Amino acid sequence: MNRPACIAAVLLLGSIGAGTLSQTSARRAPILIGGYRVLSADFHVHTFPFNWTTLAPWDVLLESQRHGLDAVLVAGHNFVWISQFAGWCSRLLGGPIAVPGEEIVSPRYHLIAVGVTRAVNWRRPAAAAIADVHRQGGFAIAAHPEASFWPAFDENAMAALDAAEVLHPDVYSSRKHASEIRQFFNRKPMTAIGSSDFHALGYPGECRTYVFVRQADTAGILEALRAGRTVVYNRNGPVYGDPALIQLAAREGRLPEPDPAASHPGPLAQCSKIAALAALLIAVLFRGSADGRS
Amino acid sequence: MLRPRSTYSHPDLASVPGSRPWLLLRRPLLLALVLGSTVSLITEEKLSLPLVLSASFTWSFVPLLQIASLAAVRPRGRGVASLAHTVDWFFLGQGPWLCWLVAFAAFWSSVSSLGHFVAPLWPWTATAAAAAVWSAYIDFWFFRGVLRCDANSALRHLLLQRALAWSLGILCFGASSLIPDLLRRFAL
Repeated sequence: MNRPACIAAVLLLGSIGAGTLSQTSARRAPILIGGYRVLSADFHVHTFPFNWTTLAPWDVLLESQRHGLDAVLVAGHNFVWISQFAGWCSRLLGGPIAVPGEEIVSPRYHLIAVGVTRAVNWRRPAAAAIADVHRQGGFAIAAHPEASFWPAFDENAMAALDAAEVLHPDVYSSRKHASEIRQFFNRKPMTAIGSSDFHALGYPGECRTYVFVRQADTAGILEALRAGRTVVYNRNGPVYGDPALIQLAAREGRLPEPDPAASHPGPLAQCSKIAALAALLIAVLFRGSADGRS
Repeated sequence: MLRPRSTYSHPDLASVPGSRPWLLLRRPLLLALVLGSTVSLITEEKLSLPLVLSASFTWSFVPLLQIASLAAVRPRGRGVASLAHTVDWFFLGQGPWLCWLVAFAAFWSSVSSLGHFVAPLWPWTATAAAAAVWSAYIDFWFFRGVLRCDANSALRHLLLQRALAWSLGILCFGASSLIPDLLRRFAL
């Protein structure tokens, strides 16, 4: 091995060692408010393959756990088996509750179908797709309902719709989208949902929903969603959801929780990042030098 | 990486050290490792062993597709380099992508959790396009020099290899919403 390769290897091993040692466990005490168990949930997280994203299902579950999530819906675009596979991984790894479901991606609307076990036909109008979700005992959430999706939500679809994402990363990136999403949410009384729509950048749970459940499992989550027992905190101030639960949570002072993994990285993690980037740069720039090529 | 024409003009395959399995694997493994490290950096802002290993495994579909598509299009016959040598030389053309990945990892592991909401993506799309063109230019000279193709044949092989690798790669990466996304984009 030539000298640059040796330096890169040492830096890489050091980086992995420092990064692995800096991992923190996010085991949290359960939060109980007003007789309910409060679950921190993200119903819109994507995984590899087929979903334009970087992390495998098991990695998404571990990342979700690292960021203090109790429940996550690993949403395939128009297929449900990945959420069922995530459920299997969760049982194996002891990760967060993996709620079955999918994101119904149509050219005219996006819907999160919580609790379904069979893929819903995305070619059908929104109202028909929501009806199919309900037939399966599921719960339908309008995903990032920006103005371009509004025509799909006609009177029938709006009457049947259960919830809408009122908090989504788009809310922070664009005032226009923030306003549109808020307007859609105010169309009728709906369960408030905050979701990260995690693909690669950011992290699961950066926008999340606090669900007030009687039992901490998929059935309990569905029951709480149908009853509208959710609270969503926008980091710029507004709070959405059940007004009584918002007041109760404010009195208790335990929500929103600080994200255990989103705070400033410690020195070990910083060292890991710098060493990793140096190692990769050396490895890439000098990768041909062993045989005289570059 | 900067002078592919001269690099590939007289490839001395005998001078490349290492056994054939190692030649076949070393550069694809480097690509998988860089991909896994990039995923770990943009996800956790550091390298952690479980995530680097898992993401390298998950993203190994990229070098595997490259090898499979290269094996499918490379001319066969006497005087043509072995698959191991061919793969080793071919993966030199990944240099622009590796540089892009390191820059991508450096940027996205450094922006704050609020910063990534507003940081524009278009510079990454533009530089990715530049990396794709640069990489294709290198591979054109690879087909000319290492696989002894004339200019037309090198271009044909290059386009076929890219079509195979990229179409299968896009299917692995985002097949499930491809049709509705395209219908929406083209307002059909």
